[in-house]
Amino acid sequence: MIETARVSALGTAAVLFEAPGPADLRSQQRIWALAREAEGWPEIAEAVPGMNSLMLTFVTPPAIWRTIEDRLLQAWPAIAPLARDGRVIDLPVVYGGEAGPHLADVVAHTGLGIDEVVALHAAPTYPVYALGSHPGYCYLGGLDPRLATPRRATPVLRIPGGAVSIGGSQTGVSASDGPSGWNTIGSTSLCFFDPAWASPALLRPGDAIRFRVEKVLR
Amino acid sequence: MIEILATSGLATVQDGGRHGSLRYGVGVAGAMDPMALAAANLLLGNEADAAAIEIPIFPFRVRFTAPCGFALAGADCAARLDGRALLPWWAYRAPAGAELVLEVPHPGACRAYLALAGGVDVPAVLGSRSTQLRGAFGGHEGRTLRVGDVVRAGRPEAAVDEFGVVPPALDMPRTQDGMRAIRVLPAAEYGCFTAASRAAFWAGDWKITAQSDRYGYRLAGEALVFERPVEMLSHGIVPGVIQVPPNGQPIVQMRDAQPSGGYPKFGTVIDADLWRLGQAPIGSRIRFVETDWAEAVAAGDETAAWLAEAGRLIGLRRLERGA
Amino acid sequence: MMDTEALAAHLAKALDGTDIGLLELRTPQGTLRLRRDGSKVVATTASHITVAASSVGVFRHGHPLRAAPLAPPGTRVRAGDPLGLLRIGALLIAVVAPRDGVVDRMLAADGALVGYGAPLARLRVDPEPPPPARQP
Repeated sequence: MIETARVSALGTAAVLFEAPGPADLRSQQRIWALAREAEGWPEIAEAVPGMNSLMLTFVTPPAIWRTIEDRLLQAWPAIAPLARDGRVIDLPVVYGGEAGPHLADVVAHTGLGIDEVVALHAAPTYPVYALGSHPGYCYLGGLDPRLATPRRATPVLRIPGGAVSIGGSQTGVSASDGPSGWNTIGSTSLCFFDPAWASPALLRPGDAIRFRVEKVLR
Repeated sequence: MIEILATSGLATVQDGGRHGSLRYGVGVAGAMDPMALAAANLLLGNEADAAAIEIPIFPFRVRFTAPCGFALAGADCAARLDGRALLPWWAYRAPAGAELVLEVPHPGACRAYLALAGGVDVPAVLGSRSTQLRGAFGGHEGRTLRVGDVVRAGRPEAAVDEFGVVPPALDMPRTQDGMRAIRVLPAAEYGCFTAASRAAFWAGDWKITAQSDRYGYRLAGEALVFERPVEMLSHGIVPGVIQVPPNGQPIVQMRDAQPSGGYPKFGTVIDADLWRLGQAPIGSRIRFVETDWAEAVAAGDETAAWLAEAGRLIGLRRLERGA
Repeated sequence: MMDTEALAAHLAKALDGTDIGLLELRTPQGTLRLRRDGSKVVATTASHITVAASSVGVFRHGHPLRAAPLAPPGTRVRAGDPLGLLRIGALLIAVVAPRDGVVDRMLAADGALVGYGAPLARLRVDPEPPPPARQP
């Protein structure tokens, strides 16, 4: 968590804006609002929200760095939260066993039992804060802080699509097979992404997910 | 039209990249050496960012099943067409039935680009013909090429004049002590590393380990040390971002990297030098050079100007030769 | 001056009884070669052609990415094979052999700036095939 808003360069390809304070829903709603405003700036190609942050890719980089830095720092304080009336999707999850190879690591780190981890994980309605990581993947807010478990020291080479994981203070669901540095605690089957759809990702910022306990394997 | 006769793996269809879908979690993909891609395409009269085949592992053999113009750029892989030795960074006309063989490249570069007249003809997905491996879409059926695959050219019969272009690395060399010198702009967490680490990063050699590919280059060198532990939230990143996991060995995110990440960032390789890095072979060593915003923007202008001038001269030549 | 045929016959006689295998005589009209073929001496005439630059540019003996020259002296080439390259700005144009033959030598140095029409390479081309015999 940072104390003041920060703007930094990602080479000359993009600029990263990080909001100060806790990464709560209200701050994220202001990120969405800033994204909508910045999309209209002529030098910006795409606005990509992150967790309490916003990446803006450039059409062409501005000649002077200060112009974009000042523009973002001046815009932020005046930005009002953009509330979205999104959908809520229920995801049936098989926790533990082969579906959740790192459930034991979360148990070990948090000091909670398997049933408590599952109950705390399946209780909230998780707002979709942003998409990233891989096609259709949603970064979710609202993970119970008691479940926070650091990312793995060595990422796993292949975690299947549908993997439900915890990384740091965040939780998410993989939309396709691939490597992951997060702790996989369960699995779900749902198609999150299809490039043939009019809007290729199933979910968007402002929607929400609820995990429903289908089974717990020990 | 070409048929793949032999491939050692990891050859994919790539164009200039898939832009505008980062907010759906779709990374850019695209050619690791966009300068070579552009040169090969321009020689054929294609758009500079048209789709071509990127070949990182050799040998690679194809047969032209119909007459077709093609061009090769990137690594010099001692190419032969029906046994005839070809020149690198050159356009040719292949007759029907001709076999093209690409061998292990001369050292110094590692990826070759085979462009076809009219561009590689695969459907565009989300605005690009690049292969998105994670998620399996785009390019040729969303996967690497296999023996027996047939790849179509957009305009195989389009006129081609056989000539070449000077590799841009010769016109714009950037080396230090015989190693590629790659310019890096410091990133947000640059100050989270000890002063000694930062100095060592700029002063030392970095080896491109065997665990390096289109997703990222894992570098071996003096481990970077954090002043204090950093746990970050997921945020957007771009190819070139140098992430540092807890073990201190940097990973340069490349074209197939995730569009977001949560590791601390030391710096970002500038866009204008990514093509150089994309040709650095496994096992080679590189140096990093600290740069600032103005220099990085100027570097981008320099590479764009080289391409524009090459494209202009190529266009004039093709015109006067009736191509 | 004897004509070539008579000269060839004269020299063939002179070679007879020696163990000289090859005699090459260069004249402004071309090169006369006499080669021992078993017990016979065969005479052939060849001529040299000069390949010239098609434009202003920098002449290169080989591709800048490769150390070796494309066609060092003595290389047998087919029509269309590259003898060297001409660099014009960012472009590289092949200087090709107009006919089959053997590279005699480069006439411009590697890296030399040359003008349109400048001599670049000398090629010893194979003799034209003899015309068909007339019908009586």
